[in-house]
Amino acid sequence: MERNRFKEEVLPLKNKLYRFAYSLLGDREEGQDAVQDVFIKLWNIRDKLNELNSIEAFAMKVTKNHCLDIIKSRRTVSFEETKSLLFLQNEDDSIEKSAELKDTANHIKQMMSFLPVQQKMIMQLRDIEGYEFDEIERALGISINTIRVNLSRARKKIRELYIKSLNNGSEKSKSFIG
Amino acid sequence: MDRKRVKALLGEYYEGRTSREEEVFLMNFFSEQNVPVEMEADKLLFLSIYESSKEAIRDEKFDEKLFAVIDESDREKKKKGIVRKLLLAATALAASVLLFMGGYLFLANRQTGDPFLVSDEYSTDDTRHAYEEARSALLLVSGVMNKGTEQLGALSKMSDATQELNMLNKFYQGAVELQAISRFDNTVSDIRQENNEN
Repeated sequence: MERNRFKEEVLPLKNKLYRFAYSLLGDREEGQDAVQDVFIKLWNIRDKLNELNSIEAFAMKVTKNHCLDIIKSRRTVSFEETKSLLFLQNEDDSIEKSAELKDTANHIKQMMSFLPVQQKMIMQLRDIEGYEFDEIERALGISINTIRVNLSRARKKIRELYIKSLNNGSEKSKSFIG
Repeated sequence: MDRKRVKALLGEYYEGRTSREEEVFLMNFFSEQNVPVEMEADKLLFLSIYESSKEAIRDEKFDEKLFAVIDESDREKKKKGIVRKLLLAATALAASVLLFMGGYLFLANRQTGDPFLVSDEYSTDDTRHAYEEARSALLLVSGVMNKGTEQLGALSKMSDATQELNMLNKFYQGAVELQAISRFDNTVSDIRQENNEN
């Protein structure tokens, strides 16, 4: 694959890959670095990309593996650091924080940080990237049934957190008025 | 009408059973409509999903930086490729030399039995002749050395003995030791005499 073709067909995936990496790593800069690493990996095998059914699904898979490696390496360094990077300090703190950030995209990132990695990935690809189930299956290598089960759990958990967040907010405003 | 459908669809949505079209419908509904209190959490969820889907890399020079890294990595690979080719060529050359030498030794071995051993086809006369030649050469060297040492002896008498001349003194001592070659000659003569007597 020539450089121009790579620029036309692969590079436009950068924001999708970035959102995915960011949702897994919980840090913008790290997400961006991860995407750069993924593109270098893709560039190094550019001749094989033409043989793939879906470059995007493959790129997502590479991003997923790369991010999971980063998370694993973080754990060996310091679990506390990992927790803070993944917004995992405290669920209630996070809900309170997100109540203050209602209009930002950080909102759902905060909520999603409490999900297990698999649920997080599935929700990211389905709800944020709008993937079909078979595309998620190809990208993550998980069966459609497992995808549905995990997606359902993830959505219910996020809704539960939003309800808590709203209740916290209203209680706060009540106590403020009172 | 819409709200009823929305409620039903939400039930399906939380079970992971909605299609993409239905999810888009829900997204549009929540971004445009005011919702009852019980749907407020759902609205927040859909709006934040929508916000998240607009997230993008903020660094405007991302592409530029990426290709700078790619170019650098390609250059490194090229360099490594050249070194590898050179190593391969050197290995091939070494292998050819080894092959050539192996072939040569093999052929020589076929002719003489063992190319590293002196052939045992030489006669006793040949061996003796070779010995005589070697002996006369060594005696000649010894004689020349002896003459040299006489002159060096004169040099050693010089009062200004410098370090370099001390070296010459050592050379002199070495030359004296070479006289042992004459003794070797005597020993050989004795052995020959004994052989003749036997």
